[in-house]
Amino acid sequence: DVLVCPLSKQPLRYCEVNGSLVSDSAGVAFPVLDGIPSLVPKDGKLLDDQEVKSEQESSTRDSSG
Amino acid sequence: MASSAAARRLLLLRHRHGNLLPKRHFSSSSAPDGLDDGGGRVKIFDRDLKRRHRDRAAWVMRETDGLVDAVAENLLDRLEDCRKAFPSALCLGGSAGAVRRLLRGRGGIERLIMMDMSADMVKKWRESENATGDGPETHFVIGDEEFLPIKESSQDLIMSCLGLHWTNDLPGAMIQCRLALQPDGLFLAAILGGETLKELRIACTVAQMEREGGISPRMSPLAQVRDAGNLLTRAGFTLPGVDVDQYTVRYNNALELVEHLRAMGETNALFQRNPVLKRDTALATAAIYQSMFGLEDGSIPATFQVIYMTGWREHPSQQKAKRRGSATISFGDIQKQFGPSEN
Repeated sequence: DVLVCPLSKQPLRYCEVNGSLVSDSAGVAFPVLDGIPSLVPKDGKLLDDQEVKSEQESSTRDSSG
Repeated sequence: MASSAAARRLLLLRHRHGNLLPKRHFSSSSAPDGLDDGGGRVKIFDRDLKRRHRDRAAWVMRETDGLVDAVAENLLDRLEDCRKAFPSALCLGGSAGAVRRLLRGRGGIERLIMMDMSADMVKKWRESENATGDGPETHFVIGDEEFLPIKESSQDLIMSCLGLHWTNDLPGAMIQCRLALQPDGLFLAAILGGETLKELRIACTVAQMEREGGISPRMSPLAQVRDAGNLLTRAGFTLPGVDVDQYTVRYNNALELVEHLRAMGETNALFQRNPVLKRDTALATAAIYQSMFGLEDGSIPATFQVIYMTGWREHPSQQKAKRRGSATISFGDIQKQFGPSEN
């Protein structure tokens, strides 16, 4: 896949729990609006430590974007 | 003509010493982007406002726009000058919709990513894409040219049609484009040049001086032709090519011109803009525009200068100048062999 985090340029992973694209290196989750990934830095939401931990435990797969 | 020359001098002064403008014409701008890198970077454009402009343009955009189509057609024409195919391509903001519509198989594109900062604009593109079944496999992303979410060395071609002139960090955006290209990948861009809307700029400046006793920025600073080559070189592109085209569009009146700009998403997004335009000043601008630039039939012309930029990501096979001192034949010998004969 060719999509990466707009800030860190590191790969993204898809989080099925809340349907977002997560950048672990930057600690930011980007929304997917109506099937279109939104990778504008302002749209990203910071992940708190608990979210990071819980999301890492859940199943993940690469972004299909 | 004297007033026109005076207006030009004022414009030059304003461009160079923006901070000398009367303070009462500045408005408090919205809080700067929290993601700003800091340092000495100057933020000229309000990207959030430009995003809202793009949202609105998605709804009022004309189905076909003669000016935008002409620019997109000229940009795509350059693909026919290349002897290689570009299977994977990225099309950035601005008038990407027109580029997609006019592609018609040029460049051998098989996978296309279309990106804009406006969600409404991207959805509109997707609707148009679903309406037509042919063409490359197309994906859609909401993103910002200044923070390109594309993996390094992943694209054969990156195009931008009338969008990059709204970036605060144009060199940074172009560097990111170069990094996203594969070696020997092509970067194609069309941006508005400094002569764009010169008539409107002059008329608006004269009107504001008359009615308000001062001027405020009504039009964005735009790249000059000589800057484009420097931009390409500074971003690290090889074989840079720059050329300029000028389009004159005629409108029945100034209001029609403003409506066209709004439909293109090209309205003012400067941080230091004066958000209020007095009716008095607007009417004076329209009257001055008509009297200074109006044509015989009563219509008014507007100039759009477009700068086309071409650059490639470096690759060993590309031609380049040889090392100094590596010549094996001297110019003197060439002169003796082929120079003008004595008789």
